[in-house]
Parts: sequence; structure tokens; C-alpha cells
Amino acid sequence: MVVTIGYYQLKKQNARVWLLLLASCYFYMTFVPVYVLILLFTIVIDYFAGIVISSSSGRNRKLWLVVSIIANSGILVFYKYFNFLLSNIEPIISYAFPHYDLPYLNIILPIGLSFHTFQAMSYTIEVYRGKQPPERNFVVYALYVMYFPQLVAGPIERPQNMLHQFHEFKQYDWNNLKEGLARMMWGFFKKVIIADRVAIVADHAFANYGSMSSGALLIGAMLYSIQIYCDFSGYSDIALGSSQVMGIRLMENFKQPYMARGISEFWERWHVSLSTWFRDYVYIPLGGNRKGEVRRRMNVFIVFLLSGLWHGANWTFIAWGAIHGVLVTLFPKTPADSVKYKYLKRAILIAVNFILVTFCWVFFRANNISEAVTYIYDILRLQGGSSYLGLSVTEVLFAALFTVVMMVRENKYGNHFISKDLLFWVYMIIMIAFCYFFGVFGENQFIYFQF
Amino acid sequence: MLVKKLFAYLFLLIGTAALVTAPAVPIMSKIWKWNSEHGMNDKWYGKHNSGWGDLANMAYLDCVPEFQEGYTYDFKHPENDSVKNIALYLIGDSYTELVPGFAFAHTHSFQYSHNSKQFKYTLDTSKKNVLLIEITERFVINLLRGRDFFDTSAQNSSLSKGGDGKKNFGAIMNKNLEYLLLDYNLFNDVKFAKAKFNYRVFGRASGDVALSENKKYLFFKPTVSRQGIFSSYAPVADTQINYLVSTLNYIHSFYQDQGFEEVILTIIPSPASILQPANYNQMIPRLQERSDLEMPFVDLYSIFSNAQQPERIYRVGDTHWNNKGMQLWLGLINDRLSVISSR
Repeated sequence: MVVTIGYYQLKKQNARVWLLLLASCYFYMTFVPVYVLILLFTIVIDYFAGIVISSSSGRNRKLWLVVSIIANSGILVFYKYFNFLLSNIEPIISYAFPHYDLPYLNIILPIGLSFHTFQAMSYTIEVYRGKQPPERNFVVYALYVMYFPQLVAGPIERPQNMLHQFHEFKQYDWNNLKEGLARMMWGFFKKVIIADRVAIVADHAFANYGSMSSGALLIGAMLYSIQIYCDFSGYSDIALGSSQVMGIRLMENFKQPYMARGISEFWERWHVSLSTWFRDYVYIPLGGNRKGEVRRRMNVFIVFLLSGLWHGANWTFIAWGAIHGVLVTLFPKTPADSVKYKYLKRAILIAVNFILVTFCWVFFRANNISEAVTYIYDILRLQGGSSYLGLSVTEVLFAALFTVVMMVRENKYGNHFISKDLLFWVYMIIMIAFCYFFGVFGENQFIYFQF
Repeated sequence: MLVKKLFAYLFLLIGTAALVTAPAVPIMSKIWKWNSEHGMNDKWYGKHNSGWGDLANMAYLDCVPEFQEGYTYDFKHPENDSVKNIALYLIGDSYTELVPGFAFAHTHSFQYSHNSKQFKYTLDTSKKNVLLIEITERFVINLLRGRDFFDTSAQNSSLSKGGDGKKNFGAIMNKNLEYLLLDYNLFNDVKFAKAKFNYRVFGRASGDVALSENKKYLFFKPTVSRQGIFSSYAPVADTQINYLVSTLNYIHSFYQDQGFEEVILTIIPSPASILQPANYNQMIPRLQERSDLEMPFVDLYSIFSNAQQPERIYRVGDTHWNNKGMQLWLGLINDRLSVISSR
């Protein structure tokens, strides 16, 4: 609110960019202040790399792209994967050198590291490909990497979409403001009313899976699917809305993924900014579908494996990516809608796909592979046990009702713009009251902040 | 137009002031101090305090009759207490801070210190010097990690931050912003309404407070979560128990070397360990069972867990015990003091 008011009070674009950059620094520094230096380091490297790449040719051009990619991915590997790598080679080192203590790092992972690293890399790659002129205004480039609405959990933006917007002076537009605020409210609704409520059930199920019945475990896993969607897409709604109030449009990150009829379609709807990043910067450079069917499938599998690894330094994420990779490789096509039994067939496909995705999420949520396998095995062997879900029956029913409301709303009434002012204010007041009285506060950070 | 502009500048001013002040911890400390010194917390600013218990206050459930339980502690002079040959030193916390010296048997002089950082003493060489160390279960791991028990600066910093002693800067800022912008008594009615609604409709408390499974008690949430060093349910590894034993032995021999005749440990079980023991990590019994633990132990855990009505030991809306819990503890301590006195 403070930033938005200040933003529209300033009459020069240069001053607005400075304001947004300062606000972004403030936002990032509320987590671990000193980590802003990591961002500064990559920003400086990529800023100069972009200029040098555009003004040079041949090997020099490639060299600076490599420097930029190594600087970005080096920081990512160091902070995110170093301890993971050590823990995996520890058995070998311990065998060879029994008294050698491995130098594990005692550090907190910088928040949103994978997001802003990928966004920074997309800039130098696009400049290298000649699809984006280098940004010569350092403050604007720094803002491209640090823009606070999407800094810590995306969407992972592209320079072509963002940089020109930071140069344009946006006039105050009440309709933009209304739509942005309504979208933010919708994001809060999904986060505090649905995600953090069903999280209680999912946490309970994953903490007590040994003693719970198969039915309760299945509900726990399904509600985790709902939780992660509402948590992550809720954050995206807040990011897109808060950016829109300042007239800056971010790319859509979700397209009702649980309405997908197959696993490939799911990936066209889920975390779109990451999927397209991997498509543009990994899948196509690997050869895409240009080198035969076998190679295409292999490329798809590699992309999903990397996507799993991108999420976190744990074998559970790699397994999650690998399973999706296998599924997309095996079932690349979304089944066509038949004329006969159109709705029934569609409903069945959606339900089957949701269950499939839910079983994959078990790997994503579990602490280790063995926990994930046991959890799924306990569901499939139809065991008896406790049916307590960690919430009262009333609250579980409320959660289900809110979920249905959310899905119908997003499927049928996706627009957030309310033209009539009176209706807009009524909507906002009702939503604020609803979020306050039904919301669960202070329980969980956004899941994707950790990535 | 002018009104709109004025409002915009007002919002800008208040918002910027809050955003600049919230991360400045020293300034926030001064604001807290000033507010409490000038009685602002009772008037219009800050948290309310109904007197029904710290957890009931935190969860705004003090408006619910079920959690409106008053309390009084009844301190009496022990019987058969004519011999006063003990100089008693108590390092305690909020559980024992109200206990007066006269309630302890055979005690000639009594000194209470709130945590070890305040413990300054001069031994009375004409009496039996007894040091009683009382620790609440949820603080055991935090207080006995490393040698923090003696390192006052480390202890102070880890305790003052709350949580697990490593809350990030963002959490502190959020708390400060909430204090500056939302912690006004005029909002209390809305907060009470929300708390009451969630309790009645969903059977749930909010914030750092959890409802017991039978819905009759409030627990401090970190003591019932699945992880964290405050929790009664988070697994405690054998190596951790080994470490606690070695630290306790170190503390014991340290104070004995200083001239204390007896150094006694008493751990007050968390309410969750007694009232909802199904997933209890058994930290206290595991410590007590260790044959290599050199520090004498007053076994309050067995008394509490075997009590006929354990639900009458703790206050329903508070982290602390009630008069009955206090009397059970005093009885055990006085039995031990009688033995020491007669030696």
C-alpha cells in the first residue's frame, strides 16, 4: 500500500524505478539482510555480461554467456546443493578417509534463490540469442531481478515481458487498481482459508501415516494436492495482483491444473513460467523433437529430472521429477474429447489424473523416499487404523466446501475485474471479513519460498 | 481531490514510519518499554491481559467461560520445621518465582534467582548450602545446550527471541509491524469474536496456542508440535540425552566445587507431557533413569503422571500449574530438605 501510493505520487519514471528497487531490497532483506549481497553479485555480473555479449562476437560472446551461467548456477549449487552432494559422497569418503570430517555448510538457504537465479539467467541467454537488447540502465536491470512481487516465488519472468514495462510511465488507472486488489484478495483467500487449513490435515497424515487408515491417508494426500495448489497459485495471484495495481503485468503461472485430462496437459497448466523456462532453455537446446522420437522422449525425461532437482536438494524431489518424466514420456497426448459421453469421459479423466498427480505429490511432500513409498503402500493395501484427520469433521467439511467454491469460481468466473464500484467494495469487505474470521494465520510460510 | 491527497500522504507517512521502525530493534524495545512504563498497554495500546491465564490471553479465548479459571497459591509454613539449618538458593523460572522462602522446610535463608544469569550468591558457612535448580521441561534442551547455563549472554539471547531461539529476522519484523499497526485494544472485540467462533465452530485455538484433544485445555503450541526443542512430542535422540546428562553432571560438579553441599535438579513437566501423554518423547523419565546422572533429581514427573486427577494440576488457560501442582512440588522439595537438614 505504501509503495503503491508512493509510486503514483512520483511523477518521473526514474524515481518510480528507484522506489520499486528500494522496496524490493527492503522486502528481500527482511529475511536475511546480508543475502542481498548475493543478489547484488549476480546482478553486477549479469548486467555487464549482457552489455559485453551484445557488443562482441564469436568466442568472446559465448565466453561471457558461460561466465554469467556459471556465476548464477554456481551460487545456486553452493547454497542449495553443496550439502546434498556432500551427504551423497560421504559414505565413499568415510570409507577411504575414516577420520576426515566433511565441510558441511551451516547456512540458511537464501529465500527464492532458484526463482531469481533462473530469471537472471533467462536475461543473458535472451541477449545472447539476440532476442533482447541489453539493458543499459543498471537500476532497471537490478529491478528486473529483484522486483518484489515475484522475487521469492515467481512467476519466473522473461526480459521481453518485464524490462520495457519498467521504462514505461504507467498512468494511474482505477480499474487496474480494482482488478489487482481483487486478485490479491483471491490469493489471500486461497492461502489462509484453504491452503493453511487443509495443511493441518496433510501434516497430520504425513506425521502419523503408520497408524492411520488407508482412507484417511488418501484424503491426507489429496488435501496436500489442494494445499500446494492453493498455496502456490495463491501466492501467484497475490504477486500478479500487487504488480497490477502499479500497472505492471506479470505472466500467468497457473491455468487450473487440476482440470487437466492428462499428465501432459497438467504440465501445460501447472507452474507455467518454470515449464516454459525449461522448454526454452533446456528442452529445445537439447534438440527438442527435432532428432527423432527416442531422443525427444529422452529430452523430456531430462527436463523433468532437472525440474525435480530445481525444487530442492533431496532425492524425493528428484524422484518426483523422474516419475513425472516417465509419465509424460509414456502418455504425451491429452485424450481428445469424444462427442458421446463427453462430460462423463472428461470427468473421469480429470479424476484419474488428479489421483495420479496426488500420488506423485506424496514424493514431493515426504521427508525421504522410504517414507513416500510406505505412505503409498499403506494407502494401497487398504489398512485399517485411525480415521482422525487432525481437524474436526465440521472443519474438514468447511475445507471441502471452500475448495469446491474455489474450483467453481476459477473454472467459471476466472475474471477478477468488477466494473461497478459499489460491488467491488462489497466484494472486498466480504472477502476481508471472510479471510479474517475463517482464515488460519501464522501456521505456514508459502511452500515455494523454500525453493 | 484535496481530501484524497491528504489521505494518501497520511497513509504514506504512517506506513513509512512503521516500515522504518519495525526492523530497528533498539527503537522497538524503547517503544515497548515506554508503553509499559506509561501504562499504555493497559489503556489502548498493546496486548490485553485479562488475568485468566497467559495462553487464554494469547489466543483471545479469555472471553470463553471454559477458560476463565482464576487461581490463588496457598503458601503455608511447613510442619515440624523448628530446625532452620539450610541456606536455600533457588534458580527457577515463572513456575517458582512466587514461592516465598517460608514455604520451604528448615530454611534459614532463601534466595531466588530468575534463571542462572541472575544468580549471584555468597555462601553461608554456618548453614547447609543447598542449590535447587528448577527448569521447565520445554526449556531443558535450550538451557542445557553447550555450557549456556553459565554463559549469560548466550542464554539471554536465545531466550529473549522466543520460539526455538533462532527465529529469523522476518518473524521479528512481522511481530513488530503487528505491534505497531494492529495491537490496539480497540480491535480486541473483533479478535475475541474470531477466537470464539473458531473455538465453538471448529474446536480450535489459533496462533501459538493449541487446544488439547479433549478440548478442555490450552497448550503452548511449540510444546505439542512434531518438531522443535520445546516440544514434548518431538523425538529426542539418545545422543541428546547423553549430552544433557553430561551437561547436568558438569553443572553439578561445578556448584559442588563452589561449596554447595547439595545441588538438586527438578524439572517441571510440560502440561502436554502429563495431560496428553500418548506421543510423549519421555525425555524426563529417560533422564531420570540414567545411572550415570550424578545430580540428585526430585522426581516430579512420576508424581504428576500417576496423580489421580492430573487434569487438576495445571491451569486450563495458562502454561503454569495451579495450587495443587505447586503443593505437590513443594511437598517433594520439603521432604528432600528434611532429609538434608537431619543429616
